[in-house]
Amino acid sequence: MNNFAVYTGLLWLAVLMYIIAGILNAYGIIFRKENVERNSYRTVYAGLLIHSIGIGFWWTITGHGPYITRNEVLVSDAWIMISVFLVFKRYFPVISRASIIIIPATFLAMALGIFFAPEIRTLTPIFTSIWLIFHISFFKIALGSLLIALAFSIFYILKTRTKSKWLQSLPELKIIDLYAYRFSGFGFIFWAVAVLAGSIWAHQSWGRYWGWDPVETWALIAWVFWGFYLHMRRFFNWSGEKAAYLLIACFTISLIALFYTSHLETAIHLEYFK
Amino acid sequence: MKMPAIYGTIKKYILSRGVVAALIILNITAVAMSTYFPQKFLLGIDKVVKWEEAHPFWRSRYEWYGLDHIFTTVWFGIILSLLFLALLVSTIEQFSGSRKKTFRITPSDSSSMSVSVSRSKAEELIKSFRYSKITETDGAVKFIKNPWGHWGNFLLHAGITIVIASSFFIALTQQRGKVNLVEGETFKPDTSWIVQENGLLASDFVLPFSVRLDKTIPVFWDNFRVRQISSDITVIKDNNEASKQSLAVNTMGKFGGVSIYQTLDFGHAFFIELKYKEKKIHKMILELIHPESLELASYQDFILPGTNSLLQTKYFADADKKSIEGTNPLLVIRTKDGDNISEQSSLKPGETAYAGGYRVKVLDVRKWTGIIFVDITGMPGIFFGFFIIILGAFAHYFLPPREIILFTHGDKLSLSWKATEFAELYSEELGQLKNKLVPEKET
Repeated sequence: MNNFAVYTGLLWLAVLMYIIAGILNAYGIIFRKENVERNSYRTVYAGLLIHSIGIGFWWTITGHGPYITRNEVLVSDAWIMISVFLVFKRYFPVISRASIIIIPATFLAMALGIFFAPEIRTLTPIFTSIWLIFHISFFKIALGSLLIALAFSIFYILKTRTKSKWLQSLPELKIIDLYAYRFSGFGFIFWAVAVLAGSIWAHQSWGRYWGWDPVETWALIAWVFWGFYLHMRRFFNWSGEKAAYLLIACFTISLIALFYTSHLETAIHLEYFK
Repeated sequence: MKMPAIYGTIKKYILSRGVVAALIILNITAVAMSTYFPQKFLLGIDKVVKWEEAHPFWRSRYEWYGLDHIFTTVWFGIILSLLFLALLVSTIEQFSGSRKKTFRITPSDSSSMSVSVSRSKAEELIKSFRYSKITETDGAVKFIKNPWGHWGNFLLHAGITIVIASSFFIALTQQRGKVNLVEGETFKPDTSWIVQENGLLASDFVLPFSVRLDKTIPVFWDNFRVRQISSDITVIKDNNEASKQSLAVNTMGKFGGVSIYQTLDFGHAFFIELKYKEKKIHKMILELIHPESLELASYQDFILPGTNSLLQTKYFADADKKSIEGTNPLLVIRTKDGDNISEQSSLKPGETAYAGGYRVKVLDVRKWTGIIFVDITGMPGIFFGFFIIILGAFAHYFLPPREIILFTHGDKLSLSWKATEFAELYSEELGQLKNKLVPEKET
């Protein structure tokens, strides 16, 4: 069996585990079967283990981390999304219900990643900086945190607008709103760290800390948008549904910044996907 | 410290909620516009002209409003300066706010409750919840858990202020120059740059020393892509004192306050001698970019001296297509005069060939590479500002402060508890505190 088949096979197996986990988890949450919900995490961990083996295996084949091809980017995004959720869940057990959004997001990102056939790409000298690793990793961690915030904003809107029974098992609206606020704050910090690391990387490689490249520009726009959201909450007392919609808009801008602008013609970052 | 009256007026307007929101939105919009309107410094004039042709509505307005160079327009400078002013005033205000929140004791009567244990026991129990004693006035004691959380917003705003101030300074004073050097060539301070970028107030960039490229070493992966490029250079001062430096991509050199960067540009420079019929002999140096693989060539056109004709060249890394290192490069040439294109000829180092009536001899082949020189003051401000932003945001969102004020109310010892943010998330902690400190009937 060749390396590509082993890697793709491991990824599909992980996707399958996540799908099973997602179904069990959603069933447990919606029908209030706590045992099923609890046990769904065993399948999540099994999926994460296989997912990690797949990434580790591919790392040894390519000789670099999972951040060059579209396949590697999406597969590692999925890994960090689920890992960030599991780590935060240990410290903030209330967020466990966000799994109903995080687990499907994880397997969708992975499945999408697999559709971009894996290829072995060598690193250009620019990509050998440790600051690049920090730069990319913190954007992924930020995405994981913001996804949790997004889940809580969606919960807020659903709980306000629908009468579904399973939504009653969620914390009260005020708490849901606060978790959306708090996790967007965490995402804001990680996003800032990512921008800082990218700036140090650019300074080290090109002698400039900022070049107004579209990816940089949109990363800044997204960060300022999050700053605007936090500002509106802190100083304008925005909360509830209004804040939830603003958060969804900020999240959409973040997705544009992370996944769309890197494909624009002028982006230095286009080098990744050449 | 008492602020002048003008400060109060500025504060009133610049920190009004509407102005702050408008400034954030205006700055976001301006930055977002730069991704729609092509910027000359990013794309070059050719692409900008093409864009103008495709968007006739904007053709007349594009340059008038400075939409082709948004970040160096007066209007962008004004809105960014106003944002900077708002941040500066906000930072000053938040400093005094943070100091008050940390050190001022203002027990809240509405949330106060009687304490059932002695003062010393109460203090001990409060500390066991990881609250630190901060200050004590007239018998009232203030404890705070995560006191740095009160300083988060101040640090966050101070960091952004520092970054913008440093960026302004860099934008005004930076000097950058790029040069392509052939092995053995010396770049002297009076030589022109191939690309130069100067800050708005900076003079022409003149290096305080000369630089000689001694050697360039490209290293390749098995698939012929470039793995690393490094160069050895010699920096020569006015008094002929020389010092060696090694550069590589991501490993810069530094000399006399100037940072020196290895670029990804490199290739072979063909030193050729041209003779047209029996006329004058011309010498040219053809700097060609290294090809991407053994099979592919890189192409470049040069103007033949004293004519409007072109010398069209292509360059293979290896004449025998065996090694990407470029130890046996092959140059292919032809001339183009209007529609007349000559036969093409291939040359290796030392060989002579004919093209379009020219006799061409390759005298020597050496490697060339691009080197960037940068003189920037203010980078520590940028990185320090970023660090402060992260520290502030971390303190604000990861360390939300909770405070307890222990005070005597009449004969009774009382306490008040407050979380300045996310209070609902700490109701459990408040419950545990009450269990330990407050008589059962009051809890």
